[in-house]
Amino acid sequence: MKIIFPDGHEREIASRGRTIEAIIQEQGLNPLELLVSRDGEIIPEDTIGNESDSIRLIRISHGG
Amino acid sequence: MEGKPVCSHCSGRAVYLDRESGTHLCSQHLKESVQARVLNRIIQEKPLPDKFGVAFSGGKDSTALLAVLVALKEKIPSRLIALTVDEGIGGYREETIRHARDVCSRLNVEHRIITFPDLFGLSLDDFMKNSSRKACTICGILRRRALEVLADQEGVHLLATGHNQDDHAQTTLMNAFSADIKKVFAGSGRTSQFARRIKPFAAVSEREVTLYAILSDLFIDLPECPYASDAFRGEVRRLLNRFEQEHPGSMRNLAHAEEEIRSRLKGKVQLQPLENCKVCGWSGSGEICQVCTVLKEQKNKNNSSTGQ
Ligand SMILES: [Zn+2]
Ligand SMILES: [Zn+2]
Repeated sequence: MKIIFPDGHEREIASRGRTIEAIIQEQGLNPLELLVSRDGEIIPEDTIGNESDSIRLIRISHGG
Repeated sequence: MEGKPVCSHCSGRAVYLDRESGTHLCSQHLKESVQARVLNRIIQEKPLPDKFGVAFSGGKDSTALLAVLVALKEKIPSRLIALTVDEGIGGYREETIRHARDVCSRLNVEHRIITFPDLFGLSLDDFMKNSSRKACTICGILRRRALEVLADQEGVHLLATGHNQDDHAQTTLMNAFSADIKKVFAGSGRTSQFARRIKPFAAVSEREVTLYAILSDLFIDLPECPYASDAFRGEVRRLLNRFEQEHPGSMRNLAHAEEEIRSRLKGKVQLQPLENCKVCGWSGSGEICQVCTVLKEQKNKNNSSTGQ
């Protein structure tokens, strides 16, 4: 599946029946600092990813 | 379940996982849960004033707060007014101010803006030219005053800020690390000359706040303040997020702990009494308030640079 990171860069990652959370953690990110959107819809991070998904990660921690 | 978790309260599609209880919430139930916690905070403020001010920076937290308060309109009899301080930060503030105006007109909330140049004669950018002080220190001092002046002008006696549970937990830990007991007690309460301050999001996580803004269609990814560089808070935030990930509920407990300590020790810690500033007459700590000190430094700087 395609993951679009908060800084805009994209990467193709095999989901292999794992949760989005597990995939995020594997990338060295903390799922608590992100929200996950699939096709423009927010989904919980324990959703199982499909290979055809396009997932956008939204960073929540900003200054103000 | 085909990779589509369902709300634990209805058959709606889940947007949020509550990690502590392991339950899922749909958009509607997430919003209701946030609204209930905010309402619970606000009804503790008795009596509610006719006019209820919101310190509205246009950032995601205060945007979400305004949206929640509008949703609770029927349950909160006060008239809402959004108060914005424009510090004058080039390349950053224009966009957030535009967003702030847009949000208020979409939510149909009265909106007032006060600017640093109007009040102090200079923008934050001007203040920061060859200043040795940290931007956030100066900005914090001046913005607090600007908000108080604006609240006073608008007859606002209760002022809500968008601080969320994560902010609260971070501050608690930072105060603990520095063992600054006074700060724990000065953190809220007697903070403003005219308006009492409240933090309706104190029991709502930053994730929920952000999600509320997104689900209300009011979230835009705004640029970060170019001066923002609180490295210590950033470190504490990462540490706490990591801890919360391993031990769900820690953040809430930490945010709650400080309130608990404060309420139990109420009156037992002697705080410095407020004094009226000899220059501007505004109440603060010390003979000359911090705002007047900053303005004097600025004047001296100008005099020395023009050779006077
Ligand atoms: Zn539901
Ligand atoms: Zn003064």
